Amino acid sequence: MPPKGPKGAGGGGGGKRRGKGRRDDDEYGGYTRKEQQLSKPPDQEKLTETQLKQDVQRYLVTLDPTVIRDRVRWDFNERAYLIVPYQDETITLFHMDSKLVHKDHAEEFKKTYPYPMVPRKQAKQLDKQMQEAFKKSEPPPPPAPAAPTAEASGEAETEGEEKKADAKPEEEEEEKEETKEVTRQTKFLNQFDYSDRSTQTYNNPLREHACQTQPPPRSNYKDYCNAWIIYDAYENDVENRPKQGKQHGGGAELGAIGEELGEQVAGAAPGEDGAPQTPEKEKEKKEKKETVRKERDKEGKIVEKERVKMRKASVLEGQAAQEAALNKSAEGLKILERLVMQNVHHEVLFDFKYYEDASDEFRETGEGTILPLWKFAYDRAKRLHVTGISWSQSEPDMFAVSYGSFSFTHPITDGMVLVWSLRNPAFPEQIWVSPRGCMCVAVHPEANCLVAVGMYDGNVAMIQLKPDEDNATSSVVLKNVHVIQKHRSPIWSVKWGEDDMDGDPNFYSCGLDGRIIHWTIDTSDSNGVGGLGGTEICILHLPVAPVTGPDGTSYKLFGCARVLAFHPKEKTTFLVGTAEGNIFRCSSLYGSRFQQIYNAHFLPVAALEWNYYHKDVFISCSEDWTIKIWDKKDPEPMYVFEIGVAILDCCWAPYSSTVFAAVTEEGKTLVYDLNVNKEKPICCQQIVTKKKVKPHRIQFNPYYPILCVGDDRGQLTTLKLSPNLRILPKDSRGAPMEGDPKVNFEIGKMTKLLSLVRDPESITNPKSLARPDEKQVKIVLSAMGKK
Amino acid sequence: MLQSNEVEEAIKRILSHKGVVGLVVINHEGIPIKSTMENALSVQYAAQVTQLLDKSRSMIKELDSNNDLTFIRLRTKKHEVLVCPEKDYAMIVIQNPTES
Repeated sequence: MPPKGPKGAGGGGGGKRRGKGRRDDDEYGGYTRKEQQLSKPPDQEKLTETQLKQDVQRYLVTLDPTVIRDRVRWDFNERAYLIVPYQDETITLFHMDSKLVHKDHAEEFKKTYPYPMVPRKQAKQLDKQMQEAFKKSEPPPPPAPAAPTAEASGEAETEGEEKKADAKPEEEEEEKEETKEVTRQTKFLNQFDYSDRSTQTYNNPLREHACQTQPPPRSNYKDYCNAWIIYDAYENDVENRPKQGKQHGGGAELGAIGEELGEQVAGAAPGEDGAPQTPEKEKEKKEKKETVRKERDKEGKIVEKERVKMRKASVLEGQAAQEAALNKSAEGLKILERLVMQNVHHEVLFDFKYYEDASDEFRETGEGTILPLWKFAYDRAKRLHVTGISWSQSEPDMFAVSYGSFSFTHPITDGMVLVWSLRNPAFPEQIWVSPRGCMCVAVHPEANCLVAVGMYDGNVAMIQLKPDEDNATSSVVLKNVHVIQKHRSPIWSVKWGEDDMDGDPNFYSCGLDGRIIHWTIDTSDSNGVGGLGGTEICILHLPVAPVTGPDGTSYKLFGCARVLAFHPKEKTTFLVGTAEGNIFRCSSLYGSRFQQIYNAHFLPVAALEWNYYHKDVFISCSEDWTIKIWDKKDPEPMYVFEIGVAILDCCWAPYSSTVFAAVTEEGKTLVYDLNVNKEKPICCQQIVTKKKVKPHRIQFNPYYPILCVGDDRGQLTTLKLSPNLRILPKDSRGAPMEGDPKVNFEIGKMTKLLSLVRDPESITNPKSLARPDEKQVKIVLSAMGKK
Repeated sequence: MLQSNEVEEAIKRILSHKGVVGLVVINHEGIPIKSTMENALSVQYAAQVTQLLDKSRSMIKELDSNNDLTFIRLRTKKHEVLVCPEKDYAMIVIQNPTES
């Protein structure tokens, strides 16, 4: 057998061992030797049976037989053969330590080898289990081919199997390898690459835990959004921003919390340091915290209460909420009322705006008519007299009216000031009720929220109609502070002066005690509220000799001032009409002298007014039945109109220099245009229906062709002037004149009228003027001479 | 600002004027909080006017953001409806102008 050769050559136990492995292959490899057709090399020597059985002895020696020993080499220097020293000619191509350990050394090996080895019995069991498992999984194979299954276990061969193998006639069956059990167990673990399971990190088991929070409170909100809503929101935000900065409430609260936190931190720090804190301090702190907490709780409760209140308020069915809502809508109600009135007085409104009396064109005499429009009446003012009317100069539809009493024999104590608007004749815009009768009123020419009032008891008041920021609820009223400064008799007239250098408003008043007082806002009031401080400008001493009293003292008589009129251009010049019938021309710069005294009327001067255009002309009227037109340089009147009945008021028209209107005691309204008719009024109409009712005041509206007449029943009547009564100057092209040309035209018209009646001598030599001038010159000269 | 009783007076005064049929005060949600008319009618007016107010204010504001609606007058065959929108409230007056 060919394998036998090498085996024989190997010799000894080694050969047997190898042969065994071979037989295993043959027996359990699934094929038998008989089936094998071994190919033999052709040149193989053919041996007989005996030759084959003959043992060929071979020896394994440690010496290489091919190595030449005692090699010599010819040395030419020595001229002799020299032995070449022996050289080891072994070349290690591969080196591997054997895993085999001798049986005897097995115990020692176990000691050195760190890994446990499976004992043989256990291994057997394992193998059995394996086999069984394998058999179960596969259909049970026939008994003969059961061998390969055993063979599948590879080196792990059991002894039983070996016995089977022994049953088979084989050459190496007697072999009993002791080392075999070692080899089959030596599934050595790699010390370097092997990683034990226990060295791996622990895998934590996965767990799931779920919980649910309480859902946040929900509320439904519905609204829509626009570009302009966003814009408004931003605008509001910008408006509110500075106000938020002022509020320190939130900041203070934060500060308190911060302090407490700081305290806690401070309390904790010494504890950590180990420094002992006295128990008292701790107690104190605890108490403090307690109180702070309580306070906060209280605050919280209060806030909560307020919230509840708010919520209650937001319930709109609540009556308080309704009232609050209506209070807020007060402004809207005013507008509503105006528009309702506009519907109610629709026709009157049309008359006011568009109606022109067409018949005027056909009146050859140039006469006109006046058409009554709205009537203004307030229930509580019915029994009061209209004592003064003052139109606002900047608002065309607003005017203030003072109510009081002219009947001094049966005085009515209370009075009031009402501010009316043409838009609402039914109810006044503002009401100011005074405990005393109001005698006169004046609206500031520029700031029309300021109204000056003079009262029957000699006091003055200034009303600020516009509610200011601090005092949003009511109009502010300033009164004169000091009792000494007030007039000692009823005030008959108040007039605004020009604002002083600081821009503060100031006004003048005149009363029956003959004094002119200048009023300014006085902030030195003890209450700090502010009031009015008065300065006496002058006392109207009459140009008569002092009267000697019963005890020999002499009195200078003074005139009882009734009317005050400031020059529209020269702000320091003013006229005062007295109850004695005199007219004083004074200056506010000096009070001891008067520029001129006119002996105008026999009875009290009722009205006095400067012309709007011509700077030297003024008008006066009196209960002595006359209206007089004056040139200020002339002590004699230019024009005198005798009506035949007492004239209670008169005034110039703001649109023309030659038109003026007057009311008579009989209740007639007269309108004159000197340019049209110098003798007769161009309009004379009865405007009060009842005979007893007297119209006391008349005023032109500065913008519209409207007259306002107030009577002693507290009623006001507005009258529209027909086109003939308000002829406006026209230029060459027929367009109405405006601005300077109109002013010049109006002045020219008046000058022409004056020149018609003026006595040329009176201009060159005014008698009344000359005398005081000479006196003055003498006084001045004497004073200079003395110095 | 007027006091509450003066507001009441003002409302009475408005109602006393010629041709005024009724007055309704509504809040910004369109709920009538004060009315002098029948309940059903005032609710109807309130609902319709609220829509009208929103629409017209929207129109004015879209044209010019700085502008705002201040008043609406609706002239109809039978009445005139006057609406005055305030910040939180709106007032409606129904007037019969032909009577006056």
